[in-house]
Amino acid sequence: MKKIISAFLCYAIFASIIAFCVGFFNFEVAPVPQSMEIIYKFSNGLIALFRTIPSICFTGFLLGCSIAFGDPATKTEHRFSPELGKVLKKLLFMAIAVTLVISLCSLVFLPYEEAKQQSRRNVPFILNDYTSLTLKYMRNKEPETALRYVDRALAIDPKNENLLELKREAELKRKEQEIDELREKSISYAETNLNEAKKLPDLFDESKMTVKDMIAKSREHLEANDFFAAHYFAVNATRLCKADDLGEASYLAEKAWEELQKVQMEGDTDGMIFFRKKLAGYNALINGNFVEAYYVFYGLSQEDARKERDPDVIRYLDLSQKRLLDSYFFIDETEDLSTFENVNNLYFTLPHAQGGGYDIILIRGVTEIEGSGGLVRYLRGLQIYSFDTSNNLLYTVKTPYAKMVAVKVSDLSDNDRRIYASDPSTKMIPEIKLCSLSRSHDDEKRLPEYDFLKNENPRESDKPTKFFWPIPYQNFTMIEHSFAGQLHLNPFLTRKLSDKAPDYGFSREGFSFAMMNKIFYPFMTLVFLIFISIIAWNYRLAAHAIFKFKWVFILPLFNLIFYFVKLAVEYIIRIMNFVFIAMAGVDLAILAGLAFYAILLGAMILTFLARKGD
Amino acid sequence: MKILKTVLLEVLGFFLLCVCGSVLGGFLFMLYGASTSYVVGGHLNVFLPETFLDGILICFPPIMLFVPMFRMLTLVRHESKNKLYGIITIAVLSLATWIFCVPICGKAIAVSNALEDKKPSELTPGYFRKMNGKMYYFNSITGNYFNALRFENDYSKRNEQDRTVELVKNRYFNFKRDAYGFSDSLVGDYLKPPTVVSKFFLGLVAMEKKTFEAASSGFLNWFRFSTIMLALLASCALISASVWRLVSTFWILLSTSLTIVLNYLYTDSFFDDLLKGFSSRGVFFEFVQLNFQVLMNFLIVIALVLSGILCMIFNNNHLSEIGDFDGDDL
Repeated sequence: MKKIISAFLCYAIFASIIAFCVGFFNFEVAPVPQSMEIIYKFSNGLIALFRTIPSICFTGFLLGCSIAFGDPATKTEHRFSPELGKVLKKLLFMAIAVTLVISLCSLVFLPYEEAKQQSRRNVPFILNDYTSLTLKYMRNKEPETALRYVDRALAIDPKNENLLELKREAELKRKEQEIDELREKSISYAETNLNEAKKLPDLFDESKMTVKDMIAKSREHLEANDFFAAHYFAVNATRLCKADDLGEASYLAEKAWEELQKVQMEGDTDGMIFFRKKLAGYNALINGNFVEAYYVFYGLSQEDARKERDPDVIRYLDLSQKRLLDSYFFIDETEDLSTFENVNNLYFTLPHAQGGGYDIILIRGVTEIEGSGGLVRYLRGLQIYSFDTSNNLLYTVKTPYAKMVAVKVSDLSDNDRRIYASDPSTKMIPEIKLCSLSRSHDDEKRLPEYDFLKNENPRESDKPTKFFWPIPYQNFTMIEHSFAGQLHLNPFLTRKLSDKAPDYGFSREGFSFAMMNKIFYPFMTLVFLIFISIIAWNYRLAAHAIFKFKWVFILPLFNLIFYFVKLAVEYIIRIMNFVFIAMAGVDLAILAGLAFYAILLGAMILTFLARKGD
Repeated sequence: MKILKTVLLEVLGFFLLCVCGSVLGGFLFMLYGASTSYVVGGHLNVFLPETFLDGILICFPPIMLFVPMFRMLTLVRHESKNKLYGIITIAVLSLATWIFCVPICGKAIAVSNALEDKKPSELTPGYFRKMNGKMYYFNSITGNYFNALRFENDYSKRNEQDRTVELVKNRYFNFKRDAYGFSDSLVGDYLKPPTVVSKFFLGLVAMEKKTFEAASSGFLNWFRFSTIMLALLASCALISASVWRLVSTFWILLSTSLTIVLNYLYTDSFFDDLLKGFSSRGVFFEFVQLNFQVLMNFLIVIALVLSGILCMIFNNNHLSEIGDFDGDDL
């Protein structure tokens, strides 16, 4: 055993160093910044090593076993001898350890390193984009944003002189801007009551309040002559309360509204005009017109410092923005996103949640928002083609950007849950918002373009601006990963997705096939190693023969042969896996595969035990 | 009696190798054939006796190229004292099988439609497929007519907002098998062989075609081509090339690979430039040009036999220096 390990390690280490060096010193000009050149080359070396590690291990194993089997062969006079059993036991341990190393390198480290290297190749483009964005924001006098981008660029290439210079410039501009702002603020504060400015009003969040709490709050605000708040809580209470509390809530709402009307009548002063504007905004908010309410309060907040700090403006701007963001998103959220997309040119189908038919969905680019835990994504160039059960096109919809948010199924209404997430194991589904608005201008909107083909007068309800997709959020992310060339490693999730794949326009066989190839890779490697040990026994070095140095030169050819044979065997196994899946389905194919490898391994072990010595 | 035993064992080993190799090759050919005819979401017909038989016929000649090597490798590891009779048996069997059976295979394949371009299977709707550089989602397919949504999927245009999308209705399309013979491009994507493997198999297929051409173009041509078997058998000279059996296998593997590669290069017209001007230089050069493959294979035989003899002399000297080694490997 010691002989096997030492010969194996000697060859494996030596060949690994050569493979690494070949990768490291290849003639490719590293397409990365100078500071990353070493990492890039190092990664190239690792990739070369991980690609050749199976054949290196096979050759090392052959060498080690062939040298080490000389001794036991002298003690093994007949087939199935106990001596050979002992050898096999140790051999199996070693083969399993080598299998583990090969599988980790081929299935985990190699794809990981290749993905990393691909992202390193994109670095110059990303740096270029970051630099352009920095310059753009410098020109737009937004040094804070410019600094954010230059910092990101410096995180990639910390020694880049141009970037460092840009950063210094941006910092200088930011300092200048801060001084200007401070100066402006001091003037503004002088005009405003300082105490009022410091005190921020309580923002309303009635989602956790009971009806009784709301009524109490309403009364409290009425007594404090805060009629907007009193009316707001009373109206919300009337919407939720049962018959017992309805009388009191309605009374408070009416009372507060009367007071508001009274105030409105009093003259045409600046204060009154401001109050009427607030009332108009508030009215829109209460009537569910959140977009109008948002722009009224946003407009007021921008008029002057006093109005910006008005408690009603702050509260109702906050409330209307929250309500607005339930259905829309702001255009500035998607600014510069196309540069940092995770996946491009995504496509899939979705069966309609109701009434049969299906949608074909095309997306130009998907950007996952950092820090959102993968729960928020922006979809660029979303196009949906909706077909009925007879394959007739019903309508199309296009939008430059859509926002996708993961929504918990438990937060859905019973009806929505029944329609969109009928599978009890679904935890989250995507909600798609198609409309985006400007944060400051009510005339700047990006609305979806619906085309109903023959139906010239569609109802408004046929043109939703937000909807749910009947697909588990996890499945969407797995589809996204598969487009990025990174199939999920979790076989259970892949198995689950493979059943649903035809619903999404993909073949069931494709996902199952990739999964099976991964599952059975270690088994194939183990069988291969036992087979090699049989060859090693048959062509062993005699116990009393001395190993000559010149024999070392045959090893590269064996390495080459193993590299080729492994590729060929792997390809044959892939065909067999595919045929099994297509013939019997993935579950039976896995069982058949397990049986196949168990038989093969058994046969190999028996063949090994049937060896006899000199 | 020992000689008879050796001969019988070699005959048995030879036929087992030919039969098992061809059957395994036929089985894999059948699986490959099934996967090339398969369309996703459709029904898979694996057990097709006709394809299996075609597979056996197709795989037999390439297997015959490797049979001498495998038999020599068996001789390397066995300490039989009758290696000479073993080698003679292998040589006679290999030459006879190659000269007489391979042409029969060629004729049988010509009668069957194994190498003909087969009609592709009808595709299934409801999947995305890439065809002629564009993506299609097939809504419905009837024979060669289909309804689909076609869209460009060019990664270089990823920064453009919309994709060019076209609704294709009742369009005729001549569905073809792809370069590897797959009816369904989706299956082709999964089962496309690695470049090295595909080059190896394509090389074997090209060589097989040349073999059948030679077999059907008269006895003399077939005799010239068959000298490849002599060259392959000459690797027997290396069965005792080294004390370490693994080194002997190395030499046998190397000599077989080189012989096959050189013959492949000859059939692939690799030496044509070299031989172009030979016919105008006189009778000798014309003879060389005409019998280049024969000469090349005889040179391989001479080189291998000489190497074998040298190795044997060197090893014997070396062992006599070591002393009392019983020399079971030699």
